[in-house]
Amino acid sequence: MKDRLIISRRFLARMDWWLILAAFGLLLFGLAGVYSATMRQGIPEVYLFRQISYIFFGIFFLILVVSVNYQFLFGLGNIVYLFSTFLLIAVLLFGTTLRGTRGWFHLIYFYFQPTEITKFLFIIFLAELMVKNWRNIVHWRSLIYPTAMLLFQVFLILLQPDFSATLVYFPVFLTILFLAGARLLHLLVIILFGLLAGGIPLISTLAGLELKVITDPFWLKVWKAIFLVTAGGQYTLLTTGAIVLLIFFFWYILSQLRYRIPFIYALVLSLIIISGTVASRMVVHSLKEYQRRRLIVFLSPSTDPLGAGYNVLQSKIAIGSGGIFGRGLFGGTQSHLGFLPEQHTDFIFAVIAEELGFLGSLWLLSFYFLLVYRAYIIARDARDKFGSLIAAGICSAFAFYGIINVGMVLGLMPATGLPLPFVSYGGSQIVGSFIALGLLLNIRIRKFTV
Amino acid sequence: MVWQLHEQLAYQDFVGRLKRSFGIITAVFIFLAVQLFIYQVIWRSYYLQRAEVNRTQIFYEPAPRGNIYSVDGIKLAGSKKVFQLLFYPFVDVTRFNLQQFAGELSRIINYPAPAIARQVAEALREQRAAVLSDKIDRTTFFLLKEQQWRFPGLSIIEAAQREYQPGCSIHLPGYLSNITREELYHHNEDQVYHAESIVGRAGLERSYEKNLRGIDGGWQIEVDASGRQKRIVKYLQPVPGDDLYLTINWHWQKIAENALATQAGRPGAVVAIDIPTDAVRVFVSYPSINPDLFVSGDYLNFWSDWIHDKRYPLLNRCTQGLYPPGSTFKVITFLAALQEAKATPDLSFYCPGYFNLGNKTFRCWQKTGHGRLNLIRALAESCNVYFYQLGLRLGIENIDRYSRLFQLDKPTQIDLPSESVGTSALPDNRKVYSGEAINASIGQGYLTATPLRLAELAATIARRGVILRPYLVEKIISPDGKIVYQNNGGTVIQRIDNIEPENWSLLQQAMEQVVLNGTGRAAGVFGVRIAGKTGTAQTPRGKDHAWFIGYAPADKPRLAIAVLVEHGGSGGAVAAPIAAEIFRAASEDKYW
Repeated sequence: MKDRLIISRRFLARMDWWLILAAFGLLLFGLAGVYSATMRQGIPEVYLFRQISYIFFGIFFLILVVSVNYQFLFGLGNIVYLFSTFLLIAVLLFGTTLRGTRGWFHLIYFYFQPTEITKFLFIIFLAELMVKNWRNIVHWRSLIYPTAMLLFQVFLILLQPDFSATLVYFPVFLTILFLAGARLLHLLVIILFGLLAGGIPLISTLAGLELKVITDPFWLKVWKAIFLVTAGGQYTLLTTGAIVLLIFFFWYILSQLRYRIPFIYALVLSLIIISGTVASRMVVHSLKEYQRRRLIVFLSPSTDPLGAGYNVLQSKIAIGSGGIFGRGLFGGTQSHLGFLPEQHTDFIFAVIAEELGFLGSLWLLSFYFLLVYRAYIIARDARDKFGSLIAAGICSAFAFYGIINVGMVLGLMPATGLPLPFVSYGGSQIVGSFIALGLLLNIRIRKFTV
Repeated sequence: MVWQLHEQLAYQDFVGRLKRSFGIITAVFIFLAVQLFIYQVIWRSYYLQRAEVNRTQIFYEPAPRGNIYSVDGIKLAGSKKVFQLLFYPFVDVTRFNLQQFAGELSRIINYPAPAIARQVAEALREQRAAVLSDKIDRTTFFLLKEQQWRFPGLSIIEAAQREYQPGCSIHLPGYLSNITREELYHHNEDQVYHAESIVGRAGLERSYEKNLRGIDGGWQIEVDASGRQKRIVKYLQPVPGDDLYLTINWHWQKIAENALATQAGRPGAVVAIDIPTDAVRVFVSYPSINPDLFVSGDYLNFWSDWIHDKRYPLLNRCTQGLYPPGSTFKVITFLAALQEAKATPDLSFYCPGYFNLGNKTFRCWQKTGHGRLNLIRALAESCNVYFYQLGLRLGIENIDRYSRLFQLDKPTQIDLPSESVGTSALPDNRKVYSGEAINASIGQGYLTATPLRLAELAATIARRGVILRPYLVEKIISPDGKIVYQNNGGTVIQRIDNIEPENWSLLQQAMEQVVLNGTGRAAGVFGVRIAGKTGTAQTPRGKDHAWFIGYAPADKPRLAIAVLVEHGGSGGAVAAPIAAEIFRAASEDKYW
């Protein structure tokens, strides 16, 4: 680890110019999009100026992150995690509330959202953990600690409450575990847990919806039953208890029939179901009213309660009307996208798609794919496990952000409030993305150094 | 140490998984690209058509705000229907003549053409509808309707606007103004407010904002290229706010305000409280500002005047004005002296008109002196010298303790925002001067109180030591008739129960004497037994403040009052007559 100097010809030679190009391209798209999106509000220059200053901030942090060899971070994983925890607790105590979430620090001139940084810090922590436990990852026991660490951090974020910020944690977590060699079966168990935690509220919302719409008495009873069981309260308790009992019952029967399954399987299955149900309660409580509306709209677009579906509808129209060549820069004529002023953040892709058409949006998508691809290459060619895992984690983080955001804009996913890295307006997001970019460059540059 | 070489097994496994994962990601990206293609190329004409033809706009129909009624049935604040003029920017720009449009329109609605032109231009640029006017009356409405074909893009809708009873003030019932961006982003937890929301800023409009605001409704309207409303996609009926039923008696309120304006002619406040329940019957802060000015937007012209007006019309003197209580405080000194056995009813002192302590001379307000007085006469004549003596005997700690006992240093907890808190005779961390007890005994020194606090004090004395919580709202009723909230009063904050009953009686007797043949004669009303205390509070600059506190009838107390006239001079001469007006009105209304 001798090289610490930035000013080195080798350094520049090793730089991943494609990656930088991709990021740069995305930034440009973002600036144009933000300017256009905020034109309707009357003061686009302010947003543009702010975004540019965020970018400078980001570049500053980028240089900072690139200068110190990432291998230095190896061994500091716990400190990194503690720092994240510290930030998350601090924001709960001292932060200000914006849009219903106590997740922002008010720093005189601007607002800073720590979750944008903790996401990537968690990757570092997890990567180090995996490297240290490389041999053991196949055993399910070694998954307990990382899962617990994940849940703890997610829990802190849910306290804010900020559900959408936690969304990216799960796929990235699973990806890193998978790449480190965890067995698919174990990961499936975790996924099952997640499905329960997220799926139960989804099903109960859907059932609640159907109750209001269905007239057929038979189906009404069916949906009512489902709703009672999933919506929380004594019925849920009873159902969960009944399922657990059933599991043990079957285990017993099977063991009598000479199909010996280790008791531990039944126990674990029951625990997952119980904890999944409990977690689903937590998730439901952390959903704000307008997020619930978005869920409802996603499940049943024709319902369109209170105009929440308006967002997605307008988004689709905006994208569709872009055509091949778009309606011209700053020429998007769609009226502002609904109640929530998010078009310069979450729905920015729709704005760009409308104005630059299929060619433009494909170009944007390609730049984004380029970003993900270069991250993948860096992960593949990194000189040690630590670097590979970090790069792979960042690659998956960017990938999921892109997929979720574009999916949301296209109406394929419920509106989740996730920004598009480098493109969306938002200081914390830009800085976080630059830090991630810095890590990638860091790993790439050190490929051949001793 | 390169793991591609040195840990080949692990690396191979890793790369295999990595490649598989990346493959999946690539597949998803391709899927997204295909989706884009479908939307933007295959279905393009469909969406384009929808975009061109069906431009939906969301228009908020603000919910009519809840009404506010006084206890004698006067509607203080309500809603009136107004017509709003809107401009939709979906006109054919090649055929649109802005100047002509603005000019002709301005002639009909009587609004300056340049302003119209500016708003229309902005609407066109930002592709957003603009509200051109919300003061359209019925005749203009019909005129416009007839000629609407001449004005492409024009539309008229009904809206509810706040309307106040003439004579209302921004202090009661309060006033409204547009929401600020700051509030929209940070204090909008339940996402109820939007950019055009109007919120309560002061008074009851503010403290009961959640009840009064109702739930806004609105339309999603499809408009075609020539600006005609094609169809209403969805309409949400606005839910009106809840109605507030106040404890205030508007008739008496007007009398009090008149009295301050004409008789005293100076800024001041009047607070009257119903004694059994602590309901506030009169709540006047003078001078004040008409809240209608905020509704129409005219306030912008006056704002700078108001801020610089030396009479501070924006200040709510009832709850936010802090003044030294002056001689009104003697009632507490009186009670303290009796209770602490530092005085008896026949304890007498001689007042020569002055009093010496060390090398300082303190004067009595009657320069020639009162002569020999006993306790009750001393209160009736408000003799300073007598009370200086009591003060010395009690000591500043005792006086302070009693002032805190009557909660002079605590808020009354009335249901209004931003109440100021007074100070006791010896607030914490203050230096004690040797003459402190002397000052405090006659209500000077560190002591301050709001008119509301002193009205509460009078009520407390009438109730013999029960401190209740004053309130303005008796009932809140939702638009469908349900009682959402009810307050019958009588909420006890504190009971002062270690004072001998005879001491209360003596104080009450003495206060009756004040009005019968003492300094408070001007507060007397024929046929009513009134008890009270005048006050003339010295101020660092200017004339003394004039105070009067009291209650009536003395035998079965029903109404307590506090009157303050800023720099009014003598309490007995200036403040007491105003109290008399209120008591007279109450008596005529058979309040007791």
